[in-house]
Amino acid sequence: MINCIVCFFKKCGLKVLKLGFLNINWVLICMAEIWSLILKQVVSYGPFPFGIIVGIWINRWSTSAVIKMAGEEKAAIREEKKELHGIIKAKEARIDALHDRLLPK
Amino acid sequence: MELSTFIAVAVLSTLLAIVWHIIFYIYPAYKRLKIAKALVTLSKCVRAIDEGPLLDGTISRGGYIHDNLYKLIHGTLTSKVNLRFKMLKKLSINDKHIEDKAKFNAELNALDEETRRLIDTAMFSIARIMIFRDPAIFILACLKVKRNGNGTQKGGRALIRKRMISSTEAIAVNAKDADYSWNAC
Repeated sequence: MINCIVCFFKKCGLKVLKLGFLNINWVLICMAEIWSLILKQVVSYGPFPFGIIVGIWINRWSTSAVIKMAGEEKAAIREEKKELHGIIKAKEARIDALHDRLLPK
Repeated sequence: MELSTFIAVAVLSTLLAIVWHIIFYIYPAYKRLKIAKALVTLSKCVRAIDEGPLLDGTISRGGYIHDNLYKLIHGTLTSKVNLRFKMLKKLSINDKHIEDKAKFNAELNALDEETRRLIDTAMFSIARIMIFRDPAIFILACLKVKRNGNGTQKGGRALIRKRMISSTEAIAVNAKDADYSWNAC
């Protein structure tokens, strides 16, 4: 496992500091290398590479708005259901009243 | 590539993306939310009408309010209502229409303040639902009712509300079952 990581760093052209296995420097160097690779890739995409980032932002904006509205809709539907139960009770009272009027005891 | 072209492409594509998201993601969610909120108001009104005037016998079978308005309210609550274009023909003025309108207004004026307010709120929430479901037909109906009635007043949110209520009432009084398409929820 350690050999694999060392090979990876050697491949990337980094000087591996022999400071021990559980050192945070390993992780930091690894992340920096990954980010530099990603940036190189993104820059190679064309004249508007940061359009990807703008696209992600627009997607996030619309999705969060939709999710927020869906939550409000869920609350509204719950409230409507409560009112519909009330309507059923009112209907029952009305049926009883009509029944009493039609067939008095 | 020149800088101006680059900026133009960037701005245009961003705007296009935003418009796309508004049309296909945000507007449908907004529409559903508004319809759900209008249905809450409508069900509250129906509950109040059921517990009050319908139980007392103030609103009874045979009148315009029971047979037309209440029927439309129930249809809207129990199914997805859509208007049809042929309904617009029925909003034109003739003798029967004037007679119907006079009877309907007499019935409405006989109600007490509370019931009148309830019916107005219910009609407004139906109008809100219809304007989201069939915007074109509802706006045409509003314009037609306005042309028939007093269209001399100007502006104001309250006036728009009043106009929407009166249009919905006109639709409810004049339209028959064939003018709606009732789809089960």
